Amino acid sequence: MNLPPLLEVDRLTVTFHGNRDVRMILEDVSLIVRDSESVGLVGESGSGKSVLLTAIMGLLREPWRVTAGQIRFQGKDLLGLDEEALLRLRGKELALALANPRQHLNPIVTIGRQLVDMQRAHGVLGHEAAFARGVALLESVGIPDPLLRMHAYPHELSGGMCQRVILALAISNSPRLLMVDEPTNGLDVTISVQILELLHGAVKRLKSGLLIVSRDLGVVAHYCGRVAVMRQGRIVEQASVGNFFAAPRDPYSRRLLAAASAARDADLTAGSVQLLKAKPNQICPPEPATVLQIEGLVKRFTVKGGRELTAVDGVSFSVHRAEALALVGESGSGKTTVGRCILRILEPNAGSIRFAGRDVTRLPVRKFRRLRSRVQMVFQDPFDSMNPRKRVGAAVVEPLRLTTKMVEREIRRRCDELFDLVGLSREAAHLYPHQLSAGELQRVGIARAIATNPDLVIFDEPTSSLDVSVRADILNLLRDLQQQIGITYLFISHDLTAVRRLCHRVAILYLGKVVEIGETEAIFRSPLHPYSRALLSSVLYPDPDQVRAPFVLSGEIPSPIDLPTGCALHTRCPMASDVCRTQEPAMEEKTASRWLACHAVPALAQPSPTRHDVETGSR
Amino acid sequence: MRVSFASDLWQFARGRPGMLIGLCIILVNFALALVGPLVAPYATEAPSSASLLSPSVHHLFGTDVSGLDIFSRVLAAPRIDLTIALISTTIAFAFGVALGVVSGFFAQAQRGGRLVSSLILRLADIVQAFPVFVFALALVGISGPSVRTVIVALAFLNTPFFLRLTRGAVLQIRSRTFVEAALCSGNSELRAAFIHVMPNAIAPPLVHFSTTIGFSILLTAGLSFVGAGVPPPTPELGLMIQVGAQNMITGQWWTALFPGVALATTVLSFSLFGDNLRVYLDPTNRR
Repeated sequence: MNLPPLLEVDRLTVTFHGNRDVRMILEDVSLIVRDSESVGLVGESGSGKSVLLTAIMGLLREPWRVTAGQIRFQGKDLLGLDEEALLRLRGKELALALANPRQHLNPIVTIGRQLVDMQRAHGVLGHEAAFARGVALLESVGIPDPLLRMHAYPHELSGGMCQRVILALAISNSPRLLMVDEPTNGLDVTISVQILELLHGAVKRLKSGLLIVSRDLGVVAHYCGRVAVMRQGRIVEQASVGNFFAAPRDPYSRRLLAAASAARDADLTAGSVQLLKAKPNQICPPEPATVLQIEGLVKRFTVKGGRELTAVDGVSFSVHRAEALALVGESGSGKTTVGRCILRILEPNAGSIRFAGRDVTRLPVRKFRRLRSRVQMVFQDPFDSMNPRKRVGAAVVEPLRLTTKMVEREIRRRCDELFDLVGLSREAAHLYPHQLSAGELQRVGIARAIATNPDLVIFDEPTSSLDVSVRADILNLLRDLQQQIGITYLFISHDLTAVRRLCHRVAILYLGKVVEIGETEAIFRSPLHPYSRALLSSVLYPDPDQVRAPFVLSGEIPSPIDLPTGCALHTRCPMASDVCRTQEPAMEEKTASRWLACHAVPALAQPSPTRHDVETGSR
Repeated sequence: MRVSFASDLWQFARGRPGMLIGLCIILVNFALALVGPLVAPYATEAPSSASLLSPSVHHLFGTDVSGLDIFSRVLAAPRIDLTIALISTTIAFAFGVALGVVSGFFAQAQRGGRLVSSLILRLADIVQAFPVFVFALALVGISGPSVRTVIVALAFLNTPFFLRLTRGAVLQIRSRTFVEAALCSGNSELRAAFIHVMPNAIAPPLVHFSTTIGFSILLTAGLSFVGAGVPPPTPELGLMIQVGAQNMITGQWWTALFPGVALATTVLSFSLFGDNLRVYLDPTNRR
């Protein structure tokens, strides 16, 4: 017998009726999800993925209209159903878990109440039974103390916890089809892996269909059976994961995949566009001269209730001329705070930052402003970091106007030069930020940062808000600039693939402390510190055949208000022993130019004398 | 290409009758402020014996107790009322926005900055704690009733509102990274506050400007009504209502009604315009 597929989207067309025009949002979209099948829907922002999900849930309202096509669920036409019938399906047979978990939980209702309501809206369960089942659900998604959490409000939970709750809500009525929008968006890598494993397990247990919408090809490669690629409202390719990653047919898919893989390996399979060339160690070797030297940096914030949050807890490292050093870590690791302290956007509580031969923490702000032209920063969100009311050209030359004595003619020439350098047309200088795309705008941000030829450029997650293909372009640009003008980079990122391509050395941070620092390739090949191992093994490469030796840390990242004693990692570390709980490990050189702070890792070789001897100051 | 502001606004207004009506009445008011006393059929401040005549062809709105033609005085009134409202609101706007930018920009700053910021805010609290009328009466007691007194009183009263509005908007803009970027580019904090933050935070106080003009006219009238406003026999709506109110009890309804209607329409027109301007300036309210 031939059962109809679980979900069948058939030549769906959705239009948007604006005040002045009618736009096609989805065009002839066809998609099938079968029972026990996981389908990944991939596409860049604005490609129509979310609209498709909304349409399947029957939640499209004016000004969006379905103008053609059908959506069949277990053979029933969803578009023909009335609201009452849809209500019975939504949350019961069809479940949707949206991105940004915090926004999708009702902030004034307890977790438990939301779980009970969700079940009672459909089920026959009474309050008691639903509550008991809620506790079991929370436990099944890996929330510790589930009974206690039932009475918690969403703001009392971390982002990762909220995502688990969303997941628990979505599976609470054992749906036939589970749709998940960007399940790992905004989550740290070690947490993302836990969430994806949970999702995978839940769907397997329920034997339901799963539709994952994601921009991350790595997620799709490892957790889906089939892939659909969406672009500008059309599905350009549908294939099994194996076939897709081996040989994508559509040129757009090829570009997407190449961009995602480029960060991992330059000499990937034939046919893929070679986007990134040399490895960082092969280009402009760093000179021994030290540009920046940080020692024992501490930054505390006072939070509500007068408690202290230690964001940076004794960080020491140095950056050499023409070198790219990466600061890597998850949220709360303090990496961004370090960058802001260097620029004196924040005032550190203790420690020294030696830049250009001077301890800048002791300089009065007025004097430091003169030094500012020598350290510059590129920010995470290109739109947010541009004044919407100023032309981008004005933004680029502002540092020149304010910190140099250049005359108008020189400034204009330098502006042209900068726009050439970052690969934008000179005319773009006359545009306003909203007239440029995110990628173009990030180029402007880079031009602004290098305008004064600074000694050091700090990159604060420069690619994390960009789409995959744009991300590769920006990384290429950074690489080219490195080669052409030999700038020194401090690259703050959690995008490990980008770090590997661009940086000579890596410092890995966990809860405000450097846990491991060393040459990039050495660390990526054999991370020594348990946290580094967990972090690196959590990276999902866009390659279904990637051999993963998961080194999984349990639980959540502790709150920086309430740091664990001893080694901060001991609450999650499988290698933890008694000494870890009480004694803080010191930074030691365990093998040639590899420094780490861990009791469990023995010294591998005699420490060699190294020119990076400045690390001896580390704690 | 950028559409010109005026034509874009016009496109927007065409679909909104409230905005059109408001705009029309405002334009009439401005026209009257320019030419009102000139086109008035009778002298506006010279008493005559023809007191308390009911509306007729000669006196469209009738005459008041001193024999002044009410229609002429209503035509002449915008010159006084609008001038007071415009000048006082402009002063309030300038001080309010400047102080609001400083107080908002330094709200999260360290030590000194935060002190200045909260000091400004407390100052606004104190000003707002004054009862308007008591304050105006005190001012009149010191310097005598005059147009200047009213302007000072109104400016003083309105500044805190602009301050708070601006501060709120600045707090929001302050957290955007382009402010940090501006500081990195070598801007001093004050320069960043006024060159980069202020232009992005100006919309809310700008909208409030229009509404405030309307309410300032109302307050001007109110102050005249209690005797703390402009001295009689200046053609001013509040004054006319006050004088007329006494005759209204004895049946001469026109003495207060026509100035009252004029006042209400003017205030309403500024509110209508302001409300629609807010919608126009807020991109999330438009599709």
